[in-house]
Amino acid sequence: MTARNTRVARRTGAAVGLAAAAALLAGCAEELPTPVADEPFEGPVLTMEQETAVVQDVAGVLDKAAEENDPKALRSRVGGPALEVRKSQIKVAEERGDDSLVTQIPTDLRAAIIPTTETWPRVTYTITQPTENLEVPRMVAYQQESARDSYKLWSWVQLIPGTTMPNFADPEAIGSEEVAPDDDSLAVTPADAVARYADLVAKGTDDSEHADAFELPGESQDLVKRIQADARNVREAETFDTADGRYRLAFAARDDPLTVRTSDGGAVVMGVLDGNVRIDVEEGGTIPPLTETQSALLAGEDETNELYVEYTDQVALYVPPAGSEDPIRPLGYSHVAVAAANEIPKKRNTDREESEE
Amino acid sequence: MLQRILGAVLVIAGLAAIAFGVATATVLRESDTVVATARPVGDGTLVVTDPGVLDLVDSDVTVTASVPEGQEVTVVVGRDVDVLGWLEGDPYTRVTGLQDWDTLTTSEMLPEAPEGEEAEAAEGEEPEEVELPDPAGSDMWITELTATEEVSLRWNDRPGPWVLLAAGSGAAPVEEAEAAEGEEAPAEASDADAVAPTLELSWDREVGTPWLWPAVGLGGLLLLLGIVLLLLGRRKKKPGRGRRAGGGAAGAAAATPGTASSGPVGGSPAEPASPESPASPDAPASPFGSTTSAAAPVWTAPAAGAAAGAGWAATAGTSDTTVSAPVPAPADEGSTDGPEQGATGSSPEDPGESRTGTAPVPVAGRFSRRSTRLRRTRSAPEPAAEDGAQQDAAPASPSVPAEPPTTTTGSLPMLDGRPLTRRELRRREEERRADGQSGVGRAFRALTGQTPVVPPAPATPPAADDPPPISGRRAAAWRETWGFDATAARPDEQQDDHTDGRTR
Repeated sequence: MTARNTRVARRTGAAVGLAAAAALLAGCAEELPTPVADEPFEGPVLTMEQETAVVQDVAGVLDKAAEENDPKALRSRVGGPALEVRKSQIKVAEERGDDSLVTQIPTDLRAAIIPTTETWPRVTYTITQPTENLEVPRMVAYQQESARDSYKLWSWVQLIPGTTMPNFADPEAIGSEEVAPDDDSLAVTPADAVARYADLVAKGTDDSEHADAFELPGESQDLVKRIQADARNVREAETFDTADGRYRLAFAARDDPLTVRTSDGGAVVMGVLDGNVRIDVEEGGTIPPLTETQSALLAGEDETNELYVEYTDQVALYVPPAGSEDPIRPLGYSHVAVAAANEIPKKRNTDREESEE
Repeated sequence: MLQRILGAVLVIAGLAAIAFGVATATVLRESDTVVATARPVGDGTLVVTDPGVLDLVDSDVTVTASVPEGQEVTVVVGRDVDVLGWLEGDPYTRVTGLQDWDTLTTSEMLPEAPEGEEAEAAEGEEPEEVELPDPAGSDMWITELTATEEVSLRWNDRPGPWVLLAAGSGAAPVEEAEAAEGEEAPAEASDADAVAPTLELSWDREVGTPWLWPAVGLGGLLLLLGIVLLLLGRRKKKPGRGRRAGGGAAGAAAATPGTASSGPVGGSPAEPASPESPASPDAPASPFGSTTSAAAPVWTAPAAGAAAGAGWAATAGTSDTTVSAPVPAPADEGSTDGPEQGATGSSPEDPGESRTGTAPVPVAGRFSRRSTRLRRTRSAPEPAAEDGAQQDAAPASPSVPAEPPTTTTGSLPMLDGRPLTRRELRRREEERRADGQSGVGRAFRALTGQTPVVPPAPATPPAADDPPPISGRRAAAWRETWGFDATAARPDEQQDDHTDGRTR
């Protein structure tokens, strides 16, 4: 018994020793963790908080610039066509001493459309609530041009009353894909869609070859109706004919519209149309500015027999996915005169392959 | 012997394992926080962590970025893509992981396109030329903090490859202007001094105590095993020596206390004093008490002349082993209830206990130590007491048996059922002492700090009734020793036998 016990004891002792040694060693050498990168991000590049912060920040800059009548203050947060338009609006407001014609951009959002783009530029849309005086909701595009730029207000449109907005992917979980201007997964590439719309705006539904591709809102006014109506008003004025007046207008699309895909595979394109209106009457006649904005832009220049007004029009179009029979639908527009002159210049903002009447 | 050595080794190993287990959970336990520092390399003013570095140790991290006095530092957290996109074109320090628990590994990253730009950046600090990259104000960051000299940021990890970017943004003063101007602050003369901040990441870490319970459990097991081995060793020993030597090594060990310690017990009257009072009230109630008292006088009577009558304890206190020995023995015998009495009789100290164990004390003798002590304390008073009256009192308390010390001695004197002679006792005492002093048992005790273990129940509890002859012999011896008439003592002897047998 003793012998056996001894052996057992000895073995046990050895085991204990080993265990203790192992324990000591293990205790001393805990492994250094190595960094493990989580799964790459998928989904929106901005959180709703960030989006809201951007919107607020932009609004702050807009307010400040408007208060101080200082268009330069806009630069940090406003770019693209929005900058031109806003500058003009501020200038007009200053001239008139009244900022009622400055487009309000509410910060209360009805929806946000946040992109998933990992590269730059990035774009995000928002749809606002109606303004305080119940103007229609705006659809606003913000763009971040490069990684070191902040998101800037790029363009906005007033949504056409009664328009049905297409659905976008959940901005918090999924995010929306940006679409290149020449993307061919759509019925028409974004660039083409805007160009055709420009043609339609300039020529009207009767004369434009693209009229069939668009479904214009029936009762409400869209940009096409608005422009054509303005033209008609002038042309049909009694004295206009007798004075041998001419009313010419031109619209041309700018390149590189912003495009974000919708849930159904289509996209919402926010583009810019440069437009101008040239009116002239017989020698000796005079043309008064047609709007308050124009008169402000003319800033007291003498009335002549010519009137030239330039517009920077921001438009939003829904373009259906490729293969769809659906038409392109205008969603909203912003028609703002940015320059006016009492003579028709040789060089105009629509100078390119211009579609002129 | 070997067995006992092994037992001791096991006991030691067990204790060591327990100690180790406890130590891992206390002294050896690693710090609850990990603080690692990253020193920037190269000329850039930017430091960036790799994805996964922020939650390297724990999901909660506190990042502290510091720059030299008077400068400003900005810390931001953003998605990896955003930060890398933002960094494009600027050299920066990349933090890639832990080098050791205190240091983060860093490497210098230069702009991919080594144009003139890089050279410019590398030469670095041409005051007017360099535009300091300042991440402050970008829309992309989730968190952003700017402060002078030092900024501390708490980050709770969320899913995704988040990275941290820290930038030294040069002289602090014109903070307002810079902020207003946007993210790219115009370079100022003082910005030339801008340096990359030093990062310090600190995590709380959960330090487990994985070894605590296993080690303690194992240690306990070993301890138990060792103790068992020791016990076995003791028990084995007994048959050979136990009877005669009254407990071999254990006895030896006990011996020390036996002589010396018994003294203190009985010797210090002060200690016992208090316990005594409670003891006496018990007296009437206890059946043993009555028996004992009844029997005791009988036995003590003879010894009374020798002052033993005053109390065995008293004698023990005087350290006169010889005298005390016989006295207590009878006392035990007196009690009809052998075992119980034995229990009470067991000496106060462990040694005593063990001795009783080896010798006559029955199973009950191994009752809890506390009761032993109690008894002891109670017994103590007796020395002070003088008369047979006391005797009544002492034994009276059932649990009390004041005999503790006596038991020790009491058990000793028996040899073949007859009390030992004085000479025998002395000799044995010497033996025992020698044994105890040199014996392994003693060594064990020194090592383990344990008193000898009480062996299991007396190996062979003798029949309740010992053959009369033995008692006869014993009685005769006793009588002889003390010079009594043989016949006179006879009846008591019967009783003695009885108890004796049991106790043995």
